[in-house]
Amino acid sequence: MSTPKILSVDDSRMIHTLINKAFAAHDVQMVFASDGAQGLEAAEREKPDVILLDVTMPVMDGIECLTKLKATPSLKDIPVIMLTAEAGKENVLKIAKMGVRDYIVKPFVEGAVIDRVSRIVTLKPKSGAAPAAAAPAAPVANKKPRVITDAIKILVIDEHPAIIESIQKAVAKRGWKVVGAASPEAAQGHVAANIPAEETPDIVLISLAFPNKAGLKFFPTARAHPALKNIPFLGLCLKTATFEQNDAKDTGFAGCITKPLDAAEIPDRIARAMELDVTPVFYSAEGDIQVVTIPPDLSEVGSIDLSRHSRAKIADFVNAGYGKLLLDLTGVTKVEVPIIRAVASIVHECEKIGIDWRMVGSDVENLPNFPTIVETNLKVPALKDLPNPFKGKNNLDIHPTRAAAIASF
Amino acid sequence: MSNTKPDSQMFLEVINHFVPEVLQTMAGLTAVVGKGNPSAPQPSVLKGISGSIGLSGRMTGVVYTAFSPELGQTVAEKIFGGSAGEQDVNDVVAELTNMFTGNLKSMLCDRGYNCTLTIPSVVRGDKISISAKSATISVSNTFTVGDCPDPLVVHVFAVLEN
Repeated sequence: MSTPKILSVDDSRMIHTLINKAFAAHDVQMVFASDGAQGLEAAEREKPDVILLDVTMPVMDGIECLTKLKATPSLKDIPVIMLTAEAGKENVLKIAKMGVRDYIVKPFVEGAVIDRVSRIVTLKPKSGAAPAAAAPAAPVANKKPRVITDAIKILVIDEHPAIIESIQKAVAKRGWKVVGAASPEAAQGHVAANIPAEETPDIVLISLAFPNKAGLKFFPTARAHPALKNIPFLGLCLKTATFEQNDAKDTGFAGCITKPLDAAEIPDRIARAMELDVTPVFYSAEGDIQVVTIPPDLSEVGSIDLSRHSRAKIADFVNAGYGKLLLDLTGVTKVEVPIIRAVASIVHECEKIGIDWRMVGSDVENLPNFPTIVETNLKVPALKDLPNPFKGKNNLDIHPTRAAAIASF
Repeated sequence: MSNTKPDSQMFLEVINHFVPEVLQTMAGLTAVVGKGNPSAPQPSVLKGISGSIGLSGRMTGVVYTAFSPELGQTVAEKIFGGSAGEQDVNDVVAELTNMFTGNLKSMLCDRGYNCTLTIPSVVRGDKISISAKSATISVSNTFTVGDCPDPLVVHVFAVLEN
């Protein structure tokens, strides 16, 4: 896997310094340019994986630079993240229409840059570097590792009942319990010092749209309760509410869930904030065969977490005597980035460790073409570091049922 | 989009909100907001290191900031995480002025007063006289930053199209 190359185009040395500091603990190659014209030259020369682009610059501003990048066939696919102090709706819409991948509003915290870039390229710690400063994400309250199948109580504080209801529906498949409150005041009773520990929430999801930053102010209130001193908080806000998101991170929130809500992603976001072990949802055993079930609605977050844990989980099973693996994609009809990442990572581990694997699926038209699909999609920035375990393979044998797959071992 | 035409008070509220936020986020410094003057005199005099950015469009105007050399040095060293030379301090003053102004611009654009920003300029002097004769809005405020005895001054001149 190659080291990601990041081009920062900004006329301010201060911004370059901050960006450089932000990535100091990561294995990346930084390239700097001080205006749009130099940025274009550097992009052509260096072919970076991501460009961080300021808007207001001398010689050539960020908008003109972006227009030229998008008009240049060899550069148009490089993801661009705009850095702008101008967060007005019109400005944001204008740059969004020009094909930017994301934008960061100034002032920004280092974590915001890392977060946005890591959505595009895989950031690995620099070897030998001191661990990066702890993110403001809260650690899990309990010392005992918690798993996704645990009974989780979620306190959702939002002025809109429909939001609470949507979250309730989204987490119902995990069997988690949601307690709703319409305001931070109404939620006080759920975090009061005198309530028993078993009734306290495990995580709080709170709207950042309450007046006077009441959502942020609720954070220290809740954490004052000894049983809740490490409880993770997730903000609920619009994707464009960058200030609120930055404020939340600075306050100590583990992250934000953006509206409109993506039902498939909500449980995964919660699991990540709580550092739950997600593998029990995907991994099971049938006889002497380990089974990995990939749900059709696998979210981006779920896919990344599943892939990250696959090496250790497969090794655990192999150590326990399971020498075969069944990858169950029943119900999967759309092969998109999250599915590709999960399947390729798992198959890669199987190939590496030398265990036999089979694939089960109902989509007998598309799934056999998985090697071609993976090969084609390796150009997608989010997958460019993905190992391709199907190299040299043509069509795959897809078994219609688990029984058929097991019989084929 | 709100149709409220921004007035002096609104300009003051915006700078009172964003100046401390920018300093806290970028430099980890707390800024205490001064009383503010919604009818700041013209001309006014700034001293030290002054950043300025022009706005033009449905709103025209200029945003000025003034840091004493000590304050500029303190903020720059906090941001760079070590010593900062004169050019570094100028760069920090320019970029922070850009952030204050960009956020002011966002408020104006969201109210229908679209405008574009100029590149920041930085000047140094002991008596920098600033005025904008046609400005219908002239607001200023001071911000006490960290332990620095000299406050940061922010002054905005503006004319809004009818």
